[in-house]
Amino acid sequence: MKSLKRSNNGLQIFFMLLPLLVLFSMFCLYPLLYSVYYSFTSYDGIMPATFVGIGNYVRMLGDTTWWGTVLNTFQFTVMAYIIQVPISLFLAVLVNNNSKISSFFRTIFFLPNVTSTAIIGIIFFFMFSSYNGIVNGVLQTSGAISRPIEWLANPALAKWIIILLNSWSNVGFFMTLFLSAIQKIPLELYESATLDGAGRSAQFWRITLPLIGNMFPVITMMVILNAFQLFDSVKVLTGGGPGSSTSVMALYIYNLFFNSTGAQQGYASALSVAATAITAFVGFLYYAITNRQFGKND
Amino acid sequence: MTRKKSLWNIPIGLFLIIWLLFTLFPLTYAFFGSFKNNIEFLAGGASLLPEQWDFSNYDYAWKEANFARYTFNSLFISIMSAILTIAIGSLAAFPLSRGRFFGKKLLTGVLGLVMFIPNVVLIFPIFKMCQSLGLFNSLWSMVITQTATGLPFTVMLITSYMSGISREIDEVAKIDGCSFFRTFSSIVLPLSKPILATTGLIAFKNAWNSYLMPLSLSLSNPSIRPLTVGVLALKDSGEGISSWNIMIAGSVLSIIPIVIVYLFLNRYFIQGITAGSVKG
Repeated sequence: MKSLKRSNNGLQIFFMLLPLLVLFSMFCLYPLLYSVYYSFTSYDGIMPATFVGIGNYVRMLGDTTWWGTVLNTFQFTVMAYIIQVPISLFLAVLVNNNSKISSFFRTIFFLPNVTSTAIIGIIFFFMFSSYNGIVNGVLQTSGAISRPIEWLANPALAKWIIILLNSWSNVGFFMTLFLSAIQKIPLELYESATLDGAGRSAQFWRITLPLIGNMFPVITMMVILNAFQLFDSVKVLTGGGPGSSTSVMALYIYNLFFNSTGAQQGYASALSVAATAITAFVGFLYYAITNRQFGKND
Repeated sequence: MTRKKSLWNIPIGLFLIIWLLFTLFPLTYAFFGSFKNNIEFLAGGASLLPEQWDFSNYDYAWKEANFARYTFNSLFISIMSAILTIAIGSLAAFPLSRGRFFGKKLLTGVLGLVMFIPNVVLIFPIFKMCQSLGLFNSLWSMVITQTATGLPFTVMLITSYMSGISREIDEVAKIDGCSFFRTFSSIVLPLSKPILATTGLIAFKNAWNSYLMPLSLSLSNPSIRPLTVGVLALKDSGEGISSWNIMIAGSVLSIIPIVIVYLFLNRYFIQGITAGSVKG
């Protein structure tokens, strides 16, 4: 009787997991295996693929455009970290109270997170366009510049616009993460510190910062993993150009798959495999460092 | 002491206001810009407000540029993938939080890792698969792709919420003879409503804002484009800057609904972030 019930439960568990397993196999496992297989071939997406061994991986090692996009991805990651983490932490500390005005600030600061980066990208594209944009409009009207600045045609400036857009999108998100960590700190700590005469900045350095320390690995990994997904803002703002000077890994792979001539799909698969390996490595590191166990509550 | 505090308040207040203006500026610029006619919009200049309020951009975008269709597509994709995400996610989360079965640890570990795989890596094989399954010219290809790629994160979110619900309740249910599924459907599922609302909203938002996936899947069929793809397709079309006013109107059409949803339900959005990511 008992064992019958057990196996019945087992069947129920199986059927409850089935939809997830089917979708997971079709939309994750299959694409990954597909990429691994085609990474060893020359393939144009339509005609039968021909086996080329590790040729695509050898090509990857010598592909300076690819390594340029890897370097750009890395640059965006580092800049995102340097700019977004301090600002979001500072904002979190400032709006961490129960007043109406702080709640208003929190709501607005998080707002970018619900908008589409692609759509905001096009708005930034308009704002920073050389002859029609409002940024040059304001600068010229105020007399700060005499000729319009080519924001998006200059690789260095274009990178800053991409960083600006990503900061616009992400700071509120990180602020919310920091806030939830700060709100877990017992209030008594601050009360006794105030009694001891510690000022606001002393309280920040001695209490807040050490106690939210465990948020930093989480945020670090989020910044890195966000960077691997970086696509929308770059595609919309610069399309990776001029040339491929602002391109990133995801955009380079996308263009090889969908906008290329000749048989590039095999090579794009090899780059996909490499990108997945790097991501998996970082993800693994993430769990190792934070010792976060999936699905378990605190 | 109070004097020191009030001195500090000036730079702090200034910083908050600068960030507030920075956050609101692109949205305000797009909103007012969408009421400028194309000549005024392309003239640039420093003025945020339109000289003459012109509603024809919306009229044109809605009727001529097919944005009514794109808006419907976006709504369909987002609502369907929110429903599917809640259904499949909660079904799978319960066994992961309470069940005992072979491979549970492996499955949870794998789900946690694949959450991070860049979408660009998956999309081409999915594109080919949809083609060969005959799903290609249908909105469902996008609904399912969107749902599937978001599921690992959703399942993780719901699982950790369900693990936080006291097990004593389902012990009692078990003694009363409730099966595993009954315990889920009549006890734990109703108690999980808050996290289901959160995950549903996040799934809706992600689908509404998604770009890379629907861009790839609608390459050969413009009639299934969602709003994001429809707006940005105008950038690469031959019309160039002559369609900027339509693009800006389309951008506002894409932003406004989700912002309104957020302003009313922001608590749920923020819950999703904190529940999913903050576990030190």
